[in-house]
Amino acid sequence: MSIKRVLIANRGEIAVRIARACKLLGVESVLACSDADRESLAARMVDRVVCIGPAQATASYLDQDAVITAAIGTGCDAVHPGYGFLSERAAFRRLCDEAGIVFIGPRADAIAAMGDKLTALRLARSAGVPTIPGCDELKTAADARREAARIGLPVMLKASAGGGGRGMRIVRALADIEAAYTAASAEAQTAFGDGTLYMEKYVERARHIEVQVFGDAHGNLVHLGERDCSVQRRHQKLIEEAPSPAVDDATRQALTAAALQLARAVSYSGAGTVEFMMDADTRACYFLEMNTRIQVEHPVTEAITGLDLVAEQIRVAGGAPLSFAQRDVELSGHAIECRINAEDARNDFTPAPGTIARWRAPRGPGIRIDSHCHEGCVVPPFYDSMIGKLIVHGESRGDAIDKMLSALDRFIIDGVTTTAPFSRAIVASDAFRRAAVTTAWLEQSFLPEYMKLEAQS
Amino acid sequence: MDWTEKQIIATLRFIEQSDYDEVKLEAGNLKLHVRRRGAPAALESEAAPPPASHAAPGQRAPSPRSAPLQSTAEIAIPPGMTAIRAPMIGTFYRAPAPHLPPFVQEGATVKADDTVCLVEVMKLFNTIKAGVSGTVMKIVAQNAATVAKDEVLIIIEPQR
Repeated sequence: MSIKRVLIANRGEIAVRIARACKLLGVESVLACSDADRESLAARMVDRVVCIGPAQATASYLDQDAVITAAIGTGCDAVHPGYGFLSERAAFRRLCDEAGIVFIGPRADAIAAMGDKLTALRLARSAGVPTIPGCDELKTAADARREAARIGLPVMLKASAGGGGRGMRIVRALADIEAAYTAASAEAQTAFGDGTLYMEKYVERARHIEVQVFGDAHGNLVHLGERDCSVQRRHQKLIEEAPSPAVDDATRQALTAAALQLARAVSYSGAGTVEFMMDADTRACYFLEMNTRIQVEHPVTEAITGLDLVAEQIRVAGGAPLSFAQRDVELSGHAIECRINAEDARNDFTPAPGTIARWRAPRGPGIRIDSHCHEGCVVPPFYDSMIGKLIVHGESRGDAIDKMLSALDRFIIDGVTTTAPFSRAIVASDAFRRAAVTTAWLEQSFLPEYMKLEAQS
Repeated sequence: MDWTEKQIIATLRFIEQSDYDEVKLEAGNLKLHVRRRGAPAALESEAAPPPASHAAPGQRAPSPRSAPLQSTAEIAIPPGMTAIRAPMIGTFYRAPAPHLPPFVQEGATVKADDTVCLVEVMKLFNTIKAGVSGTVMKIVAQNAATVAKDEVLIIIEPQR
């Protein structure tokens, strides 16, 4: 059964991206949007717009029944959830199934399994995917010493009940383990009323590497190589690239094989991403989680494979087999993406909603902009601060970096403060060009230097 | 009769497949008005409001101002009073979470570093402190409303 009319249950640039894919496929599209997004670019591109609630996302984009009712009421046979919002809610997928509407994404059981951290880890272990060495429950300081010796130092002690850094200790020498255990356990007891700790191997210098996988309902499953998203601030990705400059052929083979094993374990259908943490020093990789949706950074994979992942999602959800086999997938050149956020990097990344007075986007071969913004458009305060993505594709990584710098120089956005100048400074840095970047680099090394330079200028 | 969500959806299906351009239906706790062209379908229920997650479109609290970036008329601050203003445009919240009690009520005594409300902008929650010790005279802004930068949220009578 091929899909005839898609309800886009999202906003911003991804709503525009999905509307484009629908147009390409000759599929009708309906936008389910909030009151604040009635005039958005996506609203102008689709065949019909349905307002599903007020600006606040909890009463519109996150209201499962409103979205289902809008889909039925407008005669849609499928829903594309984009990323965020309802995209990884197994309950929403089940509601779609009950209403006889195709959810463009994997089955509910795959979403649920990967959405639960412990289930995902168990599945990964049984599929032979490497996970971070650790111990679930420590009862005494002696337990801690024995496990630390087994896992190998450094290790991190974490509170089972906790979060936010409390009850957390990094231990680098075995002599310190008892004292760290006692202190962390006491802290956890005070903070969470439960002193139970667990232990994980601590990776000092980590890179974030993820593998794009794609499956269909006929048992076909392929990978589309990896992406490197190590430039992060507070666990938010800022710059992504493909392929990873830190992954060699042997590591790539191991990573993609592991990702496929995990996806196969849940009979995965549609687009998915298996995330790994890579020890930058030893190149050992550990499974982090699997995202069961299209990712923000999918364009870098599209650039180096020449595929349209969103159109493929719609085709596959309609029951078609994958339009390409593993042997057809060729990775060519190097792609980099910069997320452009309406934030003031010089002022602790304060959100900067407002009206875009001027929007001059760079154009040229190998340059792509995914955005819902244009001159005169309002960046509302209700949602995520991302206003667009700039993607470049070059023959080599150096070529892509040069292209990105030139494109950022030509990108003029007035009216709201954006992170574009900050992204430019990152891409222009020596560390980025040498690919000597870890997930802690931006906050620990780059930002302090950047702030110092900004203060001088 | 009490309509279930499934029955409502089935009814909408039936209407979708029919030739009517407009359907008005009143039965039991349900008032349904569907228009095929023009305005999107509206659904109304006169029964007691169901939990928020099961609310149907068009059946919710009045939406905040649709022009989010406009600023409102300045309200007068009585002499000797201190106004707590929004540091930036955003959504005003009186409580730390929907199921928790508000930070402060009118008439409450607050210290300078007590949290009195939150302003959310782009998923970032900004904690707003009283700034002065005193008594909460008036909570001006509506919970969950959009507030402009510098809009008065709360008025405090400082302690002398």
